[in-house]
Formats: sequence, structure tokens, C-alpha cells
Amino acid sequence: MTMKTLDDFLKENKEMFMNDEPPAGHFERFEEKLKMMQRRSKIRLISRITSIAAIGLIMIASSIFVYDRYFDNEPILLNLGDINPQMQKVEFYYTNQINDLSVGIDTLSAGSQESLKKMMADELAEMDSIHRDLQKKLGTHPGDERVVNAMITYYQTKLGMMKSFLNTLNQINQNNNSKNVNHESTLL
Amino acid sequence: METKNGHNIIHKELLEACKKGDSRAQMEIYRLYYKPMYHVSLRILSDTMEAEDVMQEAFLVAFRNIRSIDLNISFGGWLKRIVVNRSLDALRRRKPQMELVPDYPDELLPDEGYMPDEGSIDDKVEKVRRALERLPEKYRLVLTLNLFEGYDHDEIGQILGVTASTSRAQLSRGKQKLLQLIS
Repeated sequence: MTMKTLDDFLKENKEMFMNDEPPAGHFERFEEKLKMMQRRSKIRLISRITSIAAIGLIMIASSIFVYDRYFDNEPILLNLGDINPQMQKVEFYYTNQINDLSVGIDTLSAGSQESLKKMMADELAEMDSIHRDLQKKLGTHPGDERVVNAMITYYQTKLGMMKSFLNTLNQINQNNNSKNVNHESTLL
Repeated sequence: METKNGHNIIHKELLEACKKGDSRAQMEIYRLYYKPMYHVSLRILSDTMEAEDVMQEAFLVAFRNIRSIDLNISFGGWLKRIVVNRSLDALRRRKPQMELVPDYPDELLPDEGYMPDEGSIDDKVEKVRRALERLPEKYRLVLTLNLFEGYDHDEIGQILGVTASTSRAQLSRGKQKLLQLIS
């Protein structure tokens, strides 16, 4: 075979050199990788949304900072419910829902990946720190409508974030359950 | 039977669905393209498990970035380039000191080798395939990219970070070496 005939041979029989198949089970392995990618991007989206909301809250809170610099008193932590009975109802409504969601998240995340648990814990810790700042602001400016509104926005944001976490965890658990059912039926 | 145009329309619809994150469409695109993509990666890496892994990662990269591409350009060409680049990255990681296509003087190779004419086409293909696997990496890469994947020397130069004339010279030496191994 000369160089020319080698070229011709490869051209004419190119298809025969390209019929390798990946190792068995590659479709299933890829499907799993796809699912993992979608889970990650969903979590990333939630983080992005909550980060934007958190930035919004920080901006509201820091707009009061200028005022604080000149008129700051002893920082007393105040809750929304300490302002008036109407706000007490509002706070009760939000904290109740947050507590319920918290129980749901704890239950569903028990068997989840550590990285996912850590990410949710970090997001919630970030929200807690914003809450403490707002409590301080409320303590120094109990009648300030901006602080009251920021506190309500905080609760709404936290609720939204926790609902997203719960939905994602539900989805992951459903996927895992259906995988187990499929596995069991295959075994049977 | 689907016409070529019909195929393109179906592909475009699937790719549009992929842009929206439709996992069934992504799986369908994988079914349509995995074989040639696996082949590229396998030829470069010569390792079935690693080739599968790199090929699948390339699909995920493509799906993550699919919103940024114009579907009028060839999806297959774009995907193949991702597979080639990632396979070469994997090869470099495997051998950190490796220079993919060093530009040093010719080895002393015969002008031509020969392959006995006896035997079926299957036997000959198998013989060439085995010889390709034994070919030094620097030759195998250029031969694979040019003869099987259809890249021209400018493109190979860009992919491997060498000049087009180096790629041309390596292809010629690679073919000589291949003939020597076959004979």
C-alpha cells in the first residue's frame, strides 16, 4: 500500500473506522449527569434570586444608615410585633409559615447531599443576619415606615426562598423514589 | 425517509427545545450525536472510559451554553470542537509535560510501506486500526483530526497550537509511520 492507496483506503472505508460504541450503560450515565446539571442550575437560579432580594433588602437597610450616623441611640433589638398589635398579627403570620417550612425542609433534606444542605444553610444564615440588622434598625427607629416595610419584605423574601428550597427538595426526593421503584421492579 | 431538509428542521426544533432546558430534547440530541463525538474523543485519548466521560462532559458544556449560539451554524461542528478541545485538555492533564506536536526534525522513515493485498476489508480495517493505536501520539492526533474529522491544516494548527506547515509535515510523517506499522 502506498501513501495514495492508504489515503484512498481510509476515505473509502472511513465509516468502518467510526463504528465504536461507548461502554454499555452510557445512556443511563448521561441521563444521570443531565439530571444533576439541571438540579444544580435550579439551585443556582434560586441563589441568584435570593441574592438579588437580599441586595434589595441591604440597600433599604443601608439607606437608613446615613440617618443612623447622626441620630444613633443605644441599639435595642425590636421585632415587628413590638410595634403595634396589627404588626403583631403580620409577624405571627410570617413566622408561623417560616416555622412550618423549616420543619419541612429539615425533614426532606435529611438524606440530601451535604453540598446542597450547606448551600441552603448559608443562604438562611445570610437572611438571619439581615434580620438582626433590621431588628436593630427597628429598635432605633420604631416608627419608621421604611424599616417596617423592609422587615415585611424580609419575611416575604425568606418565605419565597424557603418555598423554592422545599420545591427543589421535593423534586429531588420524587426523582430518587421513582428511581428506587424502577430499580426494584427491575430486580423483580 | 427523512429528507436532509426535514432532518435539519427536526434538529433545529430539538435544539430550540434544548435552549429551553427540555431534558427529553437534550437526550434526543445526545442519541443523534454521541457516536461521532465518542469516536473523536476515543481516537485522541485511546481510553474508552475517559473518552465517554469527556464526550458526555462536552455535551453538558454545549447544553449549558446553547443559548449563546446561533442555530443556523452547525451544532455538530461546534460540539465536535468542544469534544476535541476537552479531549486534548484531558490528554495534557494525563501528561503534564507533554508537548502535543513538537516541531523537531524528521525521523528516518521509509518512503513507503506496504500492506499485503490478501485478506478481507474487515481484516485490513482492523490492521489499520491497530496500527493507528500504536502510532505515536503526535502523529495520531494530526491524522485523526485531518483524515477522520476533516479539519484542514489551518484548523489543526489552531487546535494544536502549531503552524499549518507543521501540521502538514506531521501528517505526512504520520502516514509514513502508519504504512511502516502496517507492513
